[in-house]
Amino acid sequence: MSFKRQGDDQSQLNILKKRRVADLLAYYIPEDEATLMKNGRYTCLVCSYRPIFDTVDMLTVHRNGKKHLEGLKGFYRKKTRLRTEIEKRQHQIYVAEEEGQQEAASSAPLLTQTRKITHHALLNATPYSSCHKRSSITTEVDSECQPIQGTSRRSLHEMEATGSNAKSSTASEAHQHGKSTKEENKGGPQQDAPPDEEPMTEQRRKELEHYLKLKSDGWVQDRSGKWIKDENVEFDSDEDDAPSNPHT
Amino acid sequence: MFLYNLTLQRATGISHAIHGNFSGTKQQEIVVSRGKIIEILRPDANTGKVHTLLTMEVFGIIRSLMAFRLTGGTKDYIVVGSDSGRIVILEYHPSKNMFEKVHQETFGKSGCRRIVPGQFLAVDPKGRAVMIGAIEKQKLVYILNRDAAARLTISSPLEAHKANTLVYHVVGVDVGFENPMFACLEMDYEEADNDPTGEAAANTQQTLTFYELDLGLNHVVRKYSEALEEHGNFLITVPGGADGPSGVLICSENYITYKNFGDQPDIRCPIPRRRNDLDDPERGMIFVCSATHKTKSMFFFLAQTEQGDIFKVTLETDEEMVTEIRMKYFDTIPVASAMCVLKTGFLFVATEFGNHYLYQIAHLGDDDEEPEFSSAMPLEEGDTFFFQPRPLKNLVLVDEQENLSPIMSCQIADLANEDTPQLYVACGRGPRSTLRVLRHGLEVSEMAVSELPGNPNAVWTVRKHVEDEFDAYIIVSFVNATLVLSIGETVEEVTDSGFLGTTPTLSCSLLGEDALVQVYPDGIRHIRADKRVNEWKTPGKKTIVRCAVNQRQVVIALTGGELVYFEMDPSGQLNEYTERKEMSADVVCMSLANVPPGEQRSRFLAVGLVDNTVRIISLDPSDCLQPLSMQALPAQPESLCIVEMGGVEKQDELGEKGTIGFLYLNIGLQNGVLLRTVLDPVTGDLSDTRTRYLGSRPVKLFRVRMQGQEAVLAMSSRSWLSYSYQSRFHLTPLSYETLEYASGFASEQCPEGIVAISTNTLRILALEKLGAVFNQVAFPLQYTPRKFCIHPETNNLVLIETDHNAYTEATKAQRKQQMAEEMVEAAGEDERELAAEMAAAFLNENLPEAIFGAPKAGAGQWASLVRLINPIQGTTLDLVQLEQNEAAFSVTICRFANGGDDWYVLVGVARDMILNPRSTSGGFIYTYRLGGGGDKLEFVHKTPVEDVPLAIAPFQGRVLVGVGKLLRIYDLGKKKLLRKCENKHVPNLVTGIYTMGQRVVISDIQESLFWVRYKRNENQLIIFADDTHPRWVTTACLLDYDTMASADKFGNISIVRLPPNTSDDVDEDPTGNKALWDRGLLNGASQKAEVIMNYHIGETVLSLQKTTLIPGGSESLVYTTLSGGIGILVPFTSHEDHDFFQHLEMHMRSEFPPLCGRDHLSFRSYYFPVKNVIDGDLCEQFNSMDPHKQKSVAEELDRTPPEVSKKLEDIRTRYAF
Repeated sequence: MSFKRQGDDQSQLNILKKRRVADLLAYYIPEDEATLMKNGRYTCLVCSYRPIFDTVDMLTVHRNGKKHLEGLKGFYRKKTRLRTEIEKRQHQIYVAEEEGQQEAASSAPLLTQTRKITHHALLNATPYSSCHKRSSITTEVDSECQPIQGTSRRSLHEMEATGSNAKSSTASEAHQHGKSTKEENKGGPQQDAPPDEEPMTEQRRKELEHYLKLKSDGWVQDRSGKWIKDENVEFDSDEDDAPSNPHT
Repeated sequence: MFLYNLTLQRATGISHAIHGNFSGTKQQEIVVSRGKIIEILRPDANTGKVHTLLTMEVFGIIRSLMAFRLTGGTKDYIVVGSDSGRIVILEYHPSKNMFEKVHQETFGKSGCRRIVPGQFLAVDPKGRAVMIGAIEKQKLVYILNRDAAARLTISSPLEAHKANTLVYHVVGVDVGFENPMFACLEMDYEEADNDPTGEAAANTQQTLTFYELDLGLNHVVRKYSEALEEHGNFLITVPGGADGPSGVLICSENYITYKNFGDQPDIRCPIPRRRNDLDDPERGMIFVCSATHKTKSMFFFLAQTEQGDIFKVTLETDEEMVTEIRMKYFDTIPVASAMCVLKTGFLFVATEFGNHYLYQIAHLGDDDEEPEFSSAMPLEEGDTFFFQPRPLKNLVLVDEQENLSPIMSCQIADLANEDTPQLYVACGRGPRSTLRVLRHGLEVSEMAVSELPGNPNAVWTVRKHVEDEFDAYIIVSFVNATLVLSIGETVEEVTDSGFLGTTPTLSCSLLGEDALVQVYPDGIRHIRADKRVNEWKTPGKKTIVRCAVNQRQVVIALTGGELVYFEMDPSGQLNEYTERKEMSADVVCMSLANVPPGEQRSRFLAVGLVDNTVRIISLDPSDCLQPLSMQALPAQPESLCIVEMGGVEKQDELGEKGTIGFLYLNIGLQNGVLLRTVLDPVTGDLSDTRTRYLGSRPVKLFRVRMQGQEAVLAMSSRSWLSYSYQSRFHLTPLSYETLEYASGFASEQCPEGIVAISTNTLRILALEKLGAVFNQVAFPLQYTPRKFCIHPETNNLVLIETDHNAYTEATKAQRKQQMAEEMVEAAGEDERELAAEMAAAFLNENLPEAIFGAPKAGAGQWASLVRLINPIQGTTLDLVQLEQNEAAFSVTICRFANGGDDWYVLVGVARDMILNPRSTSGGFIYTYRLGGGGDKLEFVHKTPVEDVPLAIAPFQGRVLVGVGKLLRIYDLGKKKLLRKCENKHVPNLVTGIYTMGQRVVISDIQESLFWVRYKRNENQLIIFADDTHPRWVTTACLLDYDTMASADKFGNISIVRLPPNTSDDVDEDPTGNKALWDRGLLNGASQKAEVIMNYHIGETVLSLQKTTLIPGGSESLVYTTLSGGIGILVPFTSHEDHDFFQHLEMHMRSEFPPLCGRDHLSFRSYYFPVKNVIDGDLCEQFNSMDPHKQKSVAEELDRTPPEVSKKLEDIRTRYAF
């Protein structure tokens, strides 16, 4: 809706023009330098005392002020410092993780490795993260053994897909994503991790199928790897032990 | 995705019925409302058949209907109370076959609200005022009058509001010509509301209040109010003025009471009860509906109890004072929602559930042994009268209207191997339930079948005189002979008819007033009324190959393609036209239209030639035998037929009745295609061709008469009837075997039939249910069917039937036995023998429950059974009666991964369920093995569960079961089903489970849909996505891997889809701390489905299925509604189509607004704003608009009206019928 301007008051017109230009220019205020509050007013994030303005015009006027320009330097200085700090910390964590991993592995190397392999073999997708963002890889790189994960997950997908003729597009997308992560990681410190290149054998498929059958029937593995009954699941009265794999 | 909504069969349940002289003639019509549809029916007094004159969808909810007639008028108007916040007065125009909105007055907001009037309507019996009331507070009175031009006028509303008052019923009191008065059953709750102790609430009484409209002062006063002892449920007006004592009858629990002003004391009479009834004797008895019959000398009421028993109620008066109410048991019929007694002695019964009936009142029940009960008979307080129900005595059933309502469940499949899928519909309630098989096609009633000495080629019927109503002869042509049969009491062969019997016949007809003509290969025989015969012989070696005949003209085609034209002159002589016409190719077929009334000849001859063309040739004397137009065809024509269709009945100035319609040329091709083109009545141009494939054989066409209009019978491998019904063209297959030749047939027994030949038999057929899309075969059931599933190997159905408030057969027998014993015990020593005899008679008595109703056992009492039924023959193969109070709610057929090749039937049963507030003492899952080749249910085991199992579905060799709000996976065990996995995060109650591959979608009773993923590795069921709207889902259907269609109990259909980036690989966090952040808003899943489409149907949808309805057609989403409607949603295939219909819908909304005043867009957006759906039902009303409006709308769309209706027809036939 627009109102027709009445009269021919030049100065009024000029003021309006200026306001309009200011309004248009208001779009160029960087997002992190000002914010719209829930009461509809604006506040400047640069100045430490957080001045409040009723309109964009006022904010624009303030932004041209001496005090603000002074504060601007400090603001960006602080910002850069923060960013470098984050990067530093991240690097520290990364290094610590690498070291910690090697230490843990050395205490019981075989057991950990086996566990990890089974864990990843059964992991059929990227671990779920609540702040799930497809654009960034950093959220998904946090698991350690990417190469293994890539291949084993693919085989599992194939297996599951046999049950259904339709396949979710998300699964295939995630699949591709996994691949790209793998490629990117090639130059990284995990380059020497054992790559699981050998294809899924018939034997392995059957083992996996048996494992899943037991799991879905309500058997769980205790710490020692023995199959015990899940207490929340019902079994036939004559079912005492987990059936062994008929294929082995 | 954009969808188009089409109704295939409109709702069949009736909510209101009124009768009156709506067309202004002597004939009485019935107007019924079917929820959102208003329909006018005319019972034919001669045949006893009920014909539908007009059906209109009003795109609103009709909440009340009333008929009224202005004083001294002869025509009744219809007042409609709807959810539009408006009062609408309609008038029926028989000439245009349309309802016209005479008045529409807005008084409130739209929607069904507590204080917006619309729920109750009452008219002054003298037609001077109408009262429209809300459930609470508001009542408005409109004064009706005439203006100078005798048109109906309506005043501005007068308010009769009273706050804090609930209304139960309103009627107009018959006070003759004194000030109009309305009686109202009310309850004032103000005190009860303000009293925190609840004492006042317990003491609040219902009142009978009279409102008087003071015509002098022009306002309404609350004249008189009186508290009632019993709680009334409805009122009946007693005729007043010169016709009776005036006042009202109050129907309440166990009593009927007469009340009036002045000195009149209340007269009260108990409602009689059935003797030895299995019902709870403490249960109150109420009347549920009534009908009044009034003549100049007497009046009586027919009132029906909730058991279906009708009583004839009469009043005894002594000097204007009522002294006595008399009541007599009349008959028992199914419980009605409305009854209408017509002047012709018919009783129309709109039943609550199941088919509607038309009865003839054969006796008034005046002189029989049936005891009469009277209010004057002394009775103890609490005591009542008893009567013995018996089969019909006073009523005779004459017609039945099929009614599917309520459709509880429906599945569409081709179980009978007929190419076209059938609809298997479980419908009805209680003992009136049926399983119906619906097939597309017109039902054919076979009147007679007789064998003939050989295989005939053709058949015709002729009348003897043009004024005759019925046909006189059937002429059957064989290869070398002709047989003439005369129609009378019986059909006999005659030889004195004048027809030549030693030759085959090409055609014959009535010529002029009373002459006959027979065309045979060697000539034409003209038989005059006095049996003089004129012959015309073919010249030389030529023979007649084809001919076309009507009442005045004969055209023949000789070998070589020469046309000879004859016309009858005023003296009755058949004269040859001076010229003959040589055609360019051989003639294969010809047709002449009927001579229009008042004219000398039909102006056009259509000729089909071997060169794949049809030519129109003028027969006008000015340019006789000159070609007018030509149409090229894709194949050689086989048969032609010019008919006049789509007209409305018109009466000209001379009182001559006739129809004015359009001329259509129907062309049957040899490749089985039927073309219908419009023939211009002036120029003879052919335009607007519609094509339809009928079958594999060449199409033969025959002109027949259906409901007073011309129609075309088209015969290919299947027979079809093309007719115009309620201003829409229908081309419907006949559900009958293949026919070879046919002709119209009219006799006393069958006024509008068809005589047809099929191999060596002659058949007389009648098509009575014009307009019906489906023909039905019904198999009776015992209780209300709930769900059924199809066994994929044997095609048998497993059906569960459950009734609340019912006894099982075993309990019934037990109770009967108990009552018989009590009867004997209660008798004294000397009466023992008699009592024993009576008890034995009682035990042997077996009244069919379908009519007399099943005994009501009380709340919380359930009866149910599992039935294995063959849907083709309708035979019950096996039946398992469950115990009393076990209610079956879910069923599935599945195989278990550890159960081998056996099929198992799982039935979810609730025990001791109380509906409101919902509680149960647990449930069971019964497991049966399908043994004996799928014909037997063998009990395997019974698994107890904690709550109602409302949904079961097979899933990866196991079953998913919704137990209350828990979703579980069960596996087959040896002694019971084994619970393997469980999800507890469904909010209320799992009502449905739908699976496809890995995907599981469940519906919650009030929180819409949830997408669940089963993780084998962790043995967990995880909800990974849900819907954003709270839908009360009744049924749902998977459309593809990500898309679900669902329907809710408020009558909406919606489609939701998971966005493409949805991941089903989510973890359920066992620690719960992540969940706090992870769970979306208000504990929903973290991912949400997107709404693709929303649409308000207006009737509760109980089944959805994605299927194709015609062989070779595209897929559509078929839904069935509680009111018996069947509809489809079809996707648009092109953007152009969508654009066109979008605009058409927009124009229709503004040019043809709904009849009852509801805005179309707001109706379709009742609960959710309508999204991506175009209403085909509204678009199809284009055909019933005024021609000039049609033209203006079509022009806006850059098209012509025929093009628009062609598009409408095309989209319908692409997906359905």
